[in-house]
Amino acid sequence: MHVSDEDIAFLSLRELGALLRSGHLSAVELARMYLTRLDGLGRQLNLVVTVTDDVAFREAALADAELKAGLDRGPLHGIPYGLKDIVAAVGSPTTWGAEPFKQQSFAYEATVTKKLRDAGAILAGKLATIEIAGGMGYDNPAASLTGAAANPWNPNYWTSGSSSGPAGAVAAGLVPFAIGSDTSGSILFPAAFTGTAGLRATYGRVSRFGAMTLCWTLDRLGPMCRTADDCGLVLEAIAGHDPQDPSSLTQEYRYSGDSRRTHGFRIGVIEGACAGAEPEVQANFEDSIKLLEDLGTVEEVALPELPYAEVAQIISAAEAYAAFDDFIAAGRTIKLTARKAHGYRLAGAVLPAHDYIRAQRIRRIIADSFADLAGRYDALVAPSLGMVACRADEDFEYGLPRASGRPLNLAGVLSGTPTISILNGFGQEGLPTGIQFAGAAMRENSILDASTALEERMGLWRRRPNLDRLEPQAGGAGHVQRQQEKGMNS
Amino acid sequence: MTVSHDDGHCEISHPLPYPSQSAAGVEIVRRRLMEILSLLHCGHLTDAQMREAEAALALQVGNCETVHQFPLKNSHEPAFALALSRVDARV
Repeated sequence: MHVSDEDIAFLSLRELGALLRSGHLSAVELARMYLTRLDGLGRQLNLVVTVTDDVAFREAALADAELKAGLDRGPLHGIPYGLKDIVAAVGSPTTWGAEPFKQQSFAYEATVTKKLRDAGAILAGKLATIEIAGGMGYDNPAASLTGAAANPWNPNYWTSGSSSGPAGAVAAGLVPFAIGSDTSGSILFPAAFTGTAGLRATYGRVSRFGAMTLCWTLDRLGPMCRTADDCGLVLEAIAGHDPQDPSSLTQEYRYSGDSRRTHGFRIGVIEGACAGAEPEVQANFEDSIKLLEDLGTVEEVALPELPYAEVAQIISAAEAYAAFDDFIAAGRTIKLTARKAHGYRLAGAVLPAHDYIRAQRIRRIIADSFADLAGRYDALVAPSLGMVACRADEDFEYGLPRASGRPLNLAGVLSGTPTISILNGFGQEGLPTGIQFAGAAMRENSILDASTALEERMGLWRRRPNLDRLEPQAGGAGHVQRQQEKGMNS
Repeated sequence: MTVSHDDGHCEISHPLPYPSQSAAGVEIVRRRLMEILSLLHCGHLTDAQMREAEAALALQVGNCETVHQFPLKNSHEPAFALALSRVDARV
């Protein structure tokens, strides 16, 4: 049976793996297809910084040889992926999405890059990010070296950030999975806007060595995929203690995978989670709850009233300033595209140290309180955001304060606990809505199993954006072909 | 109010409230901090930067007031407190 390139582009990791192992297509053919899409559609949608075609064809040829020889590295073997352009990979710039760092490159690779290569995955490109992962402040989608990332579901709208490229690339079938980063929502929010699955795993689960630091005690790297199951497969490959990242967990992670639970979940619905949400977001959330009721027990639960936003903002202000103190003190924020970034972080210079520590003391209370609550359930759920994507050509309200779902997000941010956002329907302008599953520390499998069970019930993840209105650039396909010929002949 | 224990240990059961500032006091602090910010940048900040910094500072001062009013005991530790583990000596 013929499977078109368009069909292949939107398959799950398991389905792609089956095609590779059955000989239906080779890793080189798969890489060529995704590279063409990255270089064409990807650039049109402002989702791509660098297409790493030389690396991709080399790694794909090796994957084909290994699989043919019987060496199977696991579910990611031969699968192309993208890295948010704050993660170092040798042989390509790592621009941090910002003009002042446009020529930056590193002579070493991030641990996550190495782990993915060891798993046989194929690095296909560096993907768009908001400048400095949004850390200097921004309120306009175009605050990026590559411009405003267009939402594949409706290119007049934005993907959200700061993992704008990873989310958009997976949604548009440009790569089967990508690695994003999250300090206070930068995986979850783009996943919600683009209808992809974005997993912010337990703090320390994935080594941050080789990734740009924004906030030492908040930053996490994580998978962005088509499904929660795919997120589990990627997380297993990239998780693990790394001596080069002292904050990385020593506990191993094994994804539940085929032995995952399919029912009997205890779900806590956050009280008032839909306050202020758009009608479609609320309707889709309520439909999701009805389906979850078939999968276990569902009850409403109140999130303790604690100063989540204030604590998160103080910690971010101190740590982001410290991470970029020389850059900020030298006045270089004026070189960033975002007007807000020119002055937003300056205030960190006069934040008293004792207030930062006070915020960290309250944070421990928040974390203990959330651990107590989350420990009683397999997952706490709320809309990922209370709105669908905003327009790509307009400023947005900084921090999306009217977007419900944020308190649960911030509780997870501060507690270091895992959260996943998955697609749960569509709203205005045909744009996706998301539902977030938040769990207790190191219980990724609980939220992955529950969200996978809901995905299977909803059957939505197979829907694709209509990309026909965007004609692929002819030059893009030719460019990739020429690079491949050069690589094969050298 | 103090609570006495059988072992003679006394603790303050209700921590003293963090003194809160009046709105006028907060505004004076904010203005002085903006002056310091400008001095730190040798007066090179543009009007646009000053506006963004002022807005950020107003938010920051407000956030700090909020955490000041959250009652804490001396024993509450920061979330990043070190927890060292013993490394066995090599034989």
